[in-house]
Amino acid sequence: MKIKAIVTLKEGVLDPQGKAIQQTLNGMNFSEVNQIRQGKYFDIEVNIEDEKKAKAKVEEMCKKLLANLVIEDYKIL
Amino acid sequence: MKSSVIIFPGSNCDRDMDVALKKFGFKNQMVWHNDTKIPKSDLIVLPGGFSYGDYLRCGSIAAKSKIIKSIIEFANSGGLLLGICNGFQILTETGLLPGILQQNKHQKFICKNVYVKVNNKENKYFRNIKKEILELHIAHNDGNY
Repeated sequence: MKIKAIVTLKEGVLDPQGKAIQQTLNGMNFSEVNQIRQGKYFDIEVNIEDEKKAKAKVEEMCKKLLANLVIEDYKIL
Repeated sequence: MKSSVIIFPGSNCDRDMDVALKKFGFKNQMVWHNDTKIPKSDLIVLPGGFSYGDYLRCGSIAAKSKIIKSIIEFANSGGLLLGICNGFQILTETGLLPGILQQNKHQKFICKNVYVKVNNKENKYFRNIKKEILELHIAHNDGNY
């Protein structure tokens, strides 16, 4: 089955890419954009049928590799 | 003195390190990241470059290489370890050093000489250095510690 996970920068951690994207959008007349935070999305296909077990496994992956918990948070969707 | 330089896919300053170490009298060996053992060394160097194309986070994939376990053991037993640029990013990702190197504040690649003061003369890395101020070269996109 497929498990989706997103990794985002923790609140308060500087995101220069997000800032650059926001400024560009503002420059393109999207004046309504106040802030953009860029993150990562993972589509993970695992050979586990049980959803609970699969999510637990993905959580382990997030903790060990996909996210660096010093600056990032993860969310399993 | 013996040294080892670890090569990861995407390392690009490994051979420069080899030349520099030999110039200073080291008997240097190159070690591939997929090896599990490091030859007897006084110093291990993780060179700069773009290991695994900086995928995921700089140094994060290289930090899971087979050789890393031996490097951690070497460091914990008091061995001298030097990480330059991407090598330093790899060391933070292994958890040997606390914290992480984030992207530079204004999305700028910084390439210049910086001056650092030696605050701890007892430290074995600096014990034999007479200079109080060191001039070091930096070149990085993710150096915001």
